[in-house]
Amino acid sequence: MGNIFDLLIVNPFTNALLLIYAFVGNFGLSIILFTILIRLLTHPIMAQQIKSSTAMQELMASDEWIKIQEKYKGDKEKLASEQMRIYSERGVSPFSSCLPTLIQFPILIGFYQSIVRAIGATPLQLLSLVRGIYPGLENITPAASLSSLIPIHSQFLWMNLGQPEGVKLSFLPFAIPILAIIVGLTTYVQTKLTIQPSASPNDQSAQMNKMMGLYMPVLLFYFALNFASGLAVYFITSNLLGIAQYAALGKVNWNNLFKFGSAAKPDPKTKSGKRS
Amino acid sequence: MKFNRVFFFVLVASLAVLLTACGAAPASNWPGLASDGTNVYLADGQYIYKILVSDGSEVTMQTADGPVPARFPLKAEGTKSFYAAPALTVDGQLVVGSAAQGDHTLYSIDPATGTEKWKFPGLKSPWLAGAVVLNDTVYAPGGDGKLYAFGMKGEKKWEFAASDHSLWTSPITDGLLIYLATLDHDVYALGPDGKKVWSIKLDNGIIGAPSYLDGTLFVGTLSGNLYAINAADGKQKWVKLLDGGIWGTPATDGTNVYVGTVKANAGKFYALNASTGQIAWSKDEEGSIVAGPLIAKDQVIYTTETGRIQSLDQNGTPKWQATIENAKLYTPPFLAGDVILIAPMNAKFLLAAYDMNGAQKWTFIAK
Repeated sequence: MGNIFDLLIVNPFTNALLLIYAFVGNFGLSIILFTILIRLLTHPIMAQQIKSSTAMQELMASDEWIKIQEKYKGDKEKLASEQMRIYSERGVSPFSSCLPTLIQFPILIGFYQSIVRAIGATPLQLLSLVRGIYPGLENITPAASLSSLIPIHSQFLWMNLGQPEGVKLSFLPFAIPILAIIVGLTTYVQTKLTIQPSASPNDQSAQMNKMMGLYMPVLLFYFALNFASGLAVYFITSNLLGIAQYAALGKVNWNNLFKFGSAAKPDPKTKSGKRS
Repeated sequence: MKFNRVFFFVLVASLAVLLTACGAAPASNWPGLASDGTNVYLADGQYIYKILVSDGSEVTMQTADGPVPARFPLKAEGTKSFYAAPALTVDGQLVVGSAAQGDHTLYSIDPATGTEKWKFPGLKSPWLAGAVVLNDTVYAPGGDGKLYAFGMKGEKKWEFAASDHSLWTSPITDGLLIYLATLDHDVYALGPDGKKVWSIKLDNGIIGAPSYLDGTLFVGTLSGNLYAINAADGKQKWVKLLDGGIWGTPATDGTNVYVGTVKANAGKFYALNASTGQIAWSKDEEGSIVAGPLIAKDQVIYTTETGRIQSLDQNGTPKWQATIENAKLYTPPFLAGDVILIAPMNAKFLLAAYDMNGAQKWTFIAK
């Protein structure tokens, strides 16, 4: 299983990263450019996810949906069959908004592994890297030959991309994790801006959104704090691009940015805030 | 709501496990070995183990709580990890650096008590290569690309910026100069005062330390070029391109120079004329030869990544072989007293000893 994942995801990602590195000569910049590339390639999936999510929100806010919830609240079997009927009639799949997320999951893991592998922080990791480099890579540019690539210079701005980041100040006994803080903040902003509003703050999706808004920034802050800072560069770039993508699709909900303690409120300007 | 929370935490936990379990450990490497003839010191992850060469038992020491293994640290802290071969000083210190994510400290340890004598905590990157000792100075290659020189009390004498990348090879010495190879393709010769005597740029990165004999350095690169370099002035004597990349330190008996290569997942073992670089003989291997070979008496011993230990005579005729099931062998075979020590990865034991005929004498399993 690990080999298949390597073959299909990690190796191609690693080689793409190395190729970009061969052209630009800066590994931090390579991560940023590769993140943009991944975001562009997965844009159709993301657009589909947003569309499906919006359709689900509209469906759940519809009178017909609310009525059957009330009518069959004591009969779960009947409620399920009625829900399926409405899904079918409206051409909405309850899983279509989850699927793109699931597709992005292996991309995230593969991308992280490819960053760690490409940096090759130890001889053992370099051995794995060297074996995974495609033989034809140096035909594209001589800068992608093994002798030109190795060693990968993992320094970017003030950080070593293969190590967790932290800025030490002389008057403090600990390092300040600047990158991890930026990851937490951008994740918070992205989650708040891009949460699709719900008609009822008590429904499951609204509760889920609320949890996402709370936990995701903390989770990604933790990852950025403890793992290679190359991953944090990816998170920040990805968050900013995610906001840009939502904005381009007209789905950014600026009203939610400074709302605390309750589920996201519908924005009258956005289509998903309207009841069907 | 309850289900959602459970689902969310399962998702988060899965992501954390997948990220951490699939290559996240930033400084995992193969074990390092050192010996004073009586004991062998094994740097393998959280501990430096002290093991008797004679029978493979772990040395213990008395504490207020009774006898405990003489390890460093005494109890697992989770914040230290060791892979570099420890260096033994003439006054009995054991010097080794930590490669752990949260601890990039060079430690001097009293091997009798397992306590710290001094430490150098200044680095932001892990210590991955072993130090070398010349007279009263420890020369330690740092994760920040600098070679550091310390006195016996831990006082820093000088530092030499050798590379932008972490130093992965141990320096060596002929008793006069210090020789250091880097991943940046460079080999340096430094005086005991830290001043550069000469340097030479090779064709590719160097992972294995150079070896020295009779005024000549032998060093291999990832491209598969084996170089013979005049140790006095850094001039190239000869170079030979081999099939596969060179990852280990070459070994020489004066007549031949021996080295293995990595050809994807296979390997090849070579004997070359030490004076001319002409190939005397070679032997294909199913597994890659990452570690440098060991010359012991009338044989040369090398290991393959696939767990095989092979002994040959000077003409390439097999003498004996052994296999450690499912193991990966990256640490060079190590001679301690009259046994050959093998420190495998992924094996049921951390260390095994073989006699000169290939019979396994003991294995060490950490309790």
